[in-house]
Amino acid sequence: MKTNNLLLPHYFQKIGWGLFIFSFIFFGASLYAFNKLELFDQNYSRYGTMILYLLLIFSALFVAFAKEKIEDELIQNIRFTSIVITAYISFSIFMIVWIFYAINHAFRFTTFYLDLRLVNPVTMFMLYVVIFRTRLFISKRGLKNEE
Amino acid sequence: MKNNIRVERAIVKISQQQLADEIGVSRQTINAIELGKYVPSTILSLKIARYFEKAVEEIFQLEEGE
Repeated sequence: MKTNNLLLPHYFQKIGWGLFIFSFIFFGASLYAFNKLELFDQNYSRYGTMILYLLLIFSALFVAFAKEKIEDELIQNIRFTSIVITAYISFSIFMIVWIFYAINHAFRFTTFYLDLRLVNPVTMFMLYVVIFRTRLFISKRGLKNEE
Repeated sequence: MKNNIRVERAIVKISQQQLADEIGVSRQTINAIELGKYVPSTILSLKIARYFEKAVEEIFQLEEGE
């Protein structure tokens, strides 16, 4: 499977990580400030959080879909299996949440309630990045013995 | 699938990194192929065979049950 033309250039990866860390820190700080110190105006925080959400999503996109330094078929294979595993895990979480929701609805429970928004593209991107990096690390770890 | 890449490399006395550079892939790929963790594509196996100046069947063999 040739995905060479579908991926972003390699420098997008660094841009993505930088953006992610920046927006994460800024997002956390703005949440803290808004809740504790009431620093942000109501109108301002609406646009501000929207921009931060967008930054988070785009940074996750950049990191997930950027090329590695050396793109060869093994990495494409790892990328493909990572996507499949991400899909399986996301489907499973979705099914589990749905089952919880059905049980709650049938028996009128109010505990054990999981929100269906748990499975969304952003968490799937992050899951994919975690799985892909882990598999990449495992495959690189086998290189330790040089002969 | 079995392969003799490690033996062929020892005959020519080159390392995994050198073979990877000659063929144009990363060292991980050569390592994964040797350990049997990855089955190379047809193009890659032809390139490897051409580098060692042997036929593809002399380097890669099917195992029983494949």
